[in-house]
Amino acid sequence: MRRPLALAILAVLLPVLTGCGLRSGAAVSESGWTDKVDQTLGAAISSLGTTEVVLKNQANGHLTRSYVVVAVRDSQRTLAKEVQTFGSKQPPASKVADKRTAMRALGHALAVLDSASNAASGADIAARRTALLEVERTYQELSTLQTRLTGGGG
Amino acid sequence: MKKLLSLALGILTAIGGFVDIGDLVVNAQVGARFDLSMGLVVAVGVLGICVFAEMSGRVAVCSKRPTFDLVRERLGPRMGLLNLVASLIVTALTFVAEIGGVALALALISSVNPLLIVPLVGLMVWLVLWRAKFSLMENVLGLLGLALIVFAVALWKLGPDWGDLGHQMFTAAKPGDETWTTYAYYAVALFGAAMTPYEVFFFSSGGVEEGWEEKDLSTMRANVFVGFPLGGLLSLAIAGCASTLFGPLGVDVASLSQVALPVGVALGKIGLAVVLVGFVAATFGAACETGLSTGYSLGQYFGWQWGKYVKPGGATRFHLVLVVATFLAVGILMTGVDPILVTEASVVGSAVALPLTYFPILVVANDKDYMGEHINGPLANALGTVYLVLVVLAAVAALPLLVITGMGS
Amino acid sequence: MDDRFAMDNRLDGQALDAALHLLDRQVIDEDGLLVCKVDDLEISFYDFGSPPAVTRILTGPAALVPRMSSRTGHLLRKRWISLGVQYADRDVPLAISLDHVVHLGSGVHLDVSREGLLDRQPPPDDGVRIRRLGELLGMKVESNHPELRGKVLDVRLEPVEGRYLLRHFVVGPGRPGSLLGYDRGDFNGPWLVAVVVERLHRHIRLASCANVSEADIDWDAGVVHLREDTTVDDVSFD
Repeated sequence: MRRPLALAILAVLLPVLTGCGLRSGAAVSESGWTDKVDQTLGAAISSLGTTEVVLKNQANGHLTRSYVVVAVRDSQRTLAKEVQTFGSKQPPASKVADKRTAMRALGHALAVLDSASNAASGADIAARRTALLEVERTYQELSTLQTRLTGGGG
Repeated sequence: MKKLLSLALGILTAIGGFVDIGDLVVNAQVGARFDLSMGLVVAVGVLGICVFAEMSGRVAVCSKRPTFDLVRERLGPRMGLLNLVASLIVTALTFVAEIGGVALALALISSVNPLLIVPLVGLMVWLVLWRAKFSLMENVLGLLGLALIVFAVALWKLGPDWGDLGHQMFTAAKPGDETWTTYAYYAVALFGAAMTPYEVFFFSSGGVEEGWEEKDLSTMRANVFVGFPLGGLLSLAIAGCASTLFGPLGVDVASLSQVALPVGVALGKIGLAVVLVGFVAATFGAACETGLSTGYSLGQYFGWQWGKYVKPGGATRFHLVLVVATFLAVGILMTGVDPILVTEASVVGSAVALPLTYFPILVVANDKDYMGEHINGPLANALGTVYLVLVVLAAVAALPLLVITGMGS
Repeated sequence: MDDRFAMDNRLDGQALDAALHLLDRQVIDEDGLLVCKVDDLEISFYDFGSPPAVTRILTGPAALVPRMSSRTGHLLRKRWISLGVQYADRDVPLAISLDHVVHLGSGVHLDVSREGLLDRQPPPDDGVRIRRLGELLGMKVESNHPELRGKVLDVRLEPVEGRYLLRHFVVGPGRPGSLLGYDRGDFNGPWLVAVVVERLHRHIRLASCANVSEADIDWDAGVVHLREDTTVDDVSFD
């Protein structure tokens, strides 16, 4: 009874642990880095896209105010978390400049979401419209950037 | 007439109670990323829970013994304990996710920080578990859960290309930018979301709670074979909505607010209000079910009096477990952990723990001593064996896939 | 049949298997309320005359914990005792007399109320030595008979007025799935599972043990010596 049990536990833990070891490896390969960039910019696009839909429908009177406030805040939080992990990653030597570009774009996206959040909870219709336009523009910019940095994938 | 009404009520609550936080989140995520290419996985999962629930309901009726009694009896105390620990972890995780889900849904209504709502939800859940009558709890929350049908209306209003959706579903057309490993990971997650072990603890223990007799077998079957598939259609509608709205924008679903968004877009404020009521009912109902399930499984393993069919004073240990479980769940949520993350972990955990309860039920359903004339027929056994292989495969693959894909990112 | 009971009473039958039909079952009182599990069973060995018999249901942590630990060493049991060294009866389980059992089906039904029912297992009378079934299960079998190999997997009992006489040992290689019951010919069922379990347990046999005395069993080493006159039979019921 004892030995098969131990073996079973080992059989479960081994792939898990090796998997963890593989993932937390410090040196990021070039393709691994591209995946990471793709994922993070994808998260930014996702947050901006959601916010765009939310703001548009707020303008149409489709959504309640409390919902809009929470939904935009959720987008902000999701992106902030992604950006934080991305910032702590060390890129391969050839991609340092790329990371700087990406980080700048991500910082801009966060700022845009922040002002969108303020506008959405406020009563100023004009400010909301500006925020929506800004979100739409940033969404486009990030899509272009994602294509450029990841070589067309995603 | 009265019988017909109670039959309809049973089916309606089965539909409304089918969807829980795991179904909501995972179906929306999968819909946004994979369109409807995993529709068949949902179908397989729903048929699986039908087979499994019908069998455990039948076993509960015939043997008057719920699931965990049989687990210990058939696997012995050691394997049974291992099973208990694994199932408890998964059920508790689901309980945490459901309470978190209620808080998130209430936050969408009130825009109050969910952390402030969590203790209140915990208190409410505990009060219901302590005081409310079992049938009242099931019926009210199940009927309110029907509000989620609004997803089907929203999908129709969003006007997707139905031919496209059908094509994606029946050809399992994986989008080009996703890998097969991520596809497999989400397939396992969907499977785990449809076939959670707690549903079976709850279903079989609930049969004992409500004193099902042999004459109730046909009602039980109707609930399972009509109610669950219709509940499964709701899952598909959620995925379809997410696919239609988010797919073209490249949006990933990472929060409960996003799950509700398609309904708001399609149906406006009223639709949004209805779907939020549905969220609260579905997650609150599932929170009660998972909470009870922690008490059921512990009580049934150790032989304590369990259940709401006796007064709380007659089942004190059971109710103590419920108090402790609720405190624990609220405590975990108060650390600020993201309930969506807990949900994702719980559905994968469900896939891992499923064979542990599935297998003993399948064996007992073939025991002539217990089952008499209601023993598994050839069809039930054929399906049962196919699903035994499937649940074992999913269980073995779940953890490696989780690690390799980094939770599907 | 009383509709409280899910199935026929096994006590009306000729024989039942202790581990398969009695151990780990739910105990239910006269009002249908739940009492405890059958965590273990007391076996009495008599110095004179009568064959060994199962005499009490044992329950509580003191009964369950030793069954969790491996046969040799009893590590968990020692830990359990060390958690409460000041209690004299730490190692003495709670007991229910088999006289109270009126129906044995999917559960064990008693004819008394659960309130104040469980008391510590009393010490044995003179000329009686008590052991637990949990100790016996899993013991190695030593015999000259060529077909008896492996371990004690179960004990077949004959119910006789409040005592269940030990009649046979179920002996076979200790492979998983014995409690599923496929090996006793009890039921058929999903083909895949039945085939696997039957194949694993094809060496299982029934050995008579009515004349086994306590001295034939080495409780410390975990070995049962079966005598020359042991008869061997097929394990399925009838």
